[in-house]
Amino acid sequence: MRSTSAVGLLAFACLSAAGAAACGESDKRGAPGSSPGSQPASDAGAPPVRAYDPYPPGILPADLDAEVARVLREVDALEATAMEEWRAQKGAGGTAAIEVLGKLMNYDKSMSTYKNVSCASCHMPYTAFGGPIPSVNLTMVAYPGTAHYRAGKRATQRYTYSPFFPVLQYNQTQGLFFGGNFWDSRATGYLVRNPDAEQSQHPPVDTQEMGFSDTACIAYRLSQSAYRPLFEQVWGAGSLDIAFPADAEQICATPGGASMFGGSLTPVALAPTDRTHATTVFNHWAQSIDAYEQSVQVSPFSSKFDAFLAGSAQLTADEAAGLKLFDGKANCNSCHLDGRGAAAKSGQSDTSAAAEVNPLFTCFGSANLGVPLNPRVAIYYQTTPDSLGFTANTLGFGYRDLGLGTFLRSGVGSATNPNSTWTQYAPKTDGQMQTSSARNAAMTPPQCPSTEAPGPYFQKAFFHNGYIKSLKQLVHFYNTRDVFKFDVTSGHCPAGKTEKVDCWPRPEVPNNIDMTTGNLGLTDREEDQVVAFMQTLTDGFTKPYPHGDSFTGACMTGGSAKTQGNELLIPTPELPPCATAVCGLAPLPNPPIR
Amino acid sequence: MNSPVWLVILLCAAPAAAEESASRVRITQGPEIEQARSDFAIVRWTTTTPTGSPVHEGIVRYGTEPTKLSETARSPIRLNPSHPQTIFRVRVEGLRPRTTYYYNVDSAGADGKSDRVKCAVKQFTTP
Repeated sequence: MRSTSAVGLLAFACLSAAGAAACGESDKRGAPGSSPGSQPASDAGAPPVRAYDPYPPGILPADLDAEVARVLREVDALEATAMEEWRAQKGAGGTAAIEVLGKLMNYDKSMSTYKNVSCASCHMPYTAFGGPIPSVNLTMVAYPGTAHYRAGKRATQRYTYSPFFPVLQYNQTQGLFFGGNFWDSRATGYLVRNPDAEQSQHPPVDTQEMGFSDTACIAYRLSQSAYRPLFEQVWGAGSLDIAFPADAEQICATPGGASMFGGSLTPVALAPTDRTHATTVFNHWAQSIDAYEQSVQVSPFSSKFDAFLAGSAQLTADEAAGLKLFDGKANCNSCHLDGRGAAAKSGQSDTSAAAEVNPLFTCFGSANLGVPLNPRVAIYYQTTPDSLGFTANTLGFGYRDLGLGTFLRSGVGSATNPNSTWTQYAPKTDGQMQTSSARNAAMTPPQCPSTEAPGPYFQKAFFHNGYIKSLKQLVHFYNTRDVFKFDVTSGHCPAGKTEKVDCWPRPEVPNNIDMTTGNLGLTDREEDQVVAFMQTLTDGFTKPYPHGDSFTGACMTGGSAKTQGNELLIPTPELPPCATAVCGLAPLPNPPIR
Repeated sequence: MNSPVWLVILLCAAPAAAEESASRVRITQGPEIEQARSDFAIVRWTTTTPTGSPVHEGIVRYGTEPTKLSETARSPIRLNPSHPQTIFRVRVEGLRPRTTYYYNVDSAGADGKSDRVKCAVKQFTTP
């Protein structure tokens, strides 16, 4: 079972790359504004649990609770909208029914242990379903889960276009992995035959995210939901008729990893037929959410670039220059495939017709870009047990994020690799993270129309660990990673050097670093032009992006995109060797990773 | 010291011989040292774009004797088939300070099949 594999590594923690993490207080009892430091009681009447806060001062953003509450208000409003859409359908079936079912699930806070987190808590429309809290993106990167303040280890990935990734496969001819979802591709889709659908199955049972102790809790909470009739309409009458035990709510209201479960992954006692039934519901949950994410409500191909391909919009001079660089000197489209047609000769512009009219700006592959370790990521500090006896990271700064390599070894913080023939490729994939679609990297709420300082801007986090804080920095990193290479960790650039400007700390994972980029020779203006082109990939140009205007928070202003976020850099502590639990698993990294 | 280096550059950058097959990968610039530090160097060269898998490896064979290039460094790059030329860059780690190294280069597809790049041995000295 996928669920077994997904939660089989909780001794460290089932850490999600892109999944819906959780933020916020209960909608019913722990209302927004309730005092921080305690968990809301669940419907089952579980006592409040003391908040887990192992973080040194300054790691959690000061406005965290207020921002979590703000997002929950937005989630509630969008859930109400989805309910209205369902009612307006008046029982109609087809794609509309399953898409609105997935939408309701996406905004349903009861799909978390404490009913204080929905998928959308970390995936809101105004960021293309990426991270919705600027201060989190700026600091701890990973979002707090249902059990405050457990948190994961990576930045939120966008939903948009994730349904178009294929089931993970090792292409023997190319010698490469293609497909999957999550930064480490661990949502292979091998059972539900759809990695995006499988992706939606991980966060609900991720100890640091939505926190269920048992996949059956999804079926249980769906059986209690207001939209149960819609689920049964889509997936069949009786599809939620499961004989749950009397203590199901109590179990589902206790976060996974709690010592009371004794390591069990199926604490909800079900008869075998009901267990099978619950698993089927869990798969239908996944397929419903995928239907929503694949729909035009999430992945609409409505960007300016799409209009350009359709011949209904012209790029500005800078955007056109950026496209030329994207295809040429900057070499972005060697991985972020843009679907262009015949080759441009050196020195010429690409005037070809598009070979593909819905390019996804990804090759579905993975690469180690050499991103430095970000010492602000929340995971490094969760080294002591919480009040439930759960410790997210027993390795501290001995943890290294080897991405796909760790997944292929079924290593800590990932999932079980379902294909033993893949394991041999782990040393070739250490440090590799999925090539995300470049589409919507620049999407922000309309009132904060940029990701770039001085703004007004919406602070996002780029790359798997959120080390990069603006698209300007992102392009500059690709352009100069090896030009301004320093053998230091973040926060320790030499005097006179400015991190992310003329100093790039050493990579977190030194193996398999992709050398396509790192010294592109782009000028400052050319970097800006690439950014300008990337901004044409934002949906909402040909028609408004659904719920793109749902942000009710504040924009940021001031500063420079080049140094955006640098004021919050902290010195990386002296790193212990990479823990044996990570770098000592066979087949060993080659060369060994310190 | 200078003249042998120039000779090597000419050898590496020379146009393909007439008998060379059209598919053979040909160096058009370099190899050269993009940067060298006491324990690290990046070797860079440009070729006609190889065919084959999109991920290629640049390969540097090196050592402290010109006739004994016993060490190998490899770095992946991703080909862009629409580009007529491809830049290979390879990270060479674990070098010793103030040491002269000799090297040559090649590249290979994901299947390990060499692009049969022809290049004479070159050298550099770490600071």
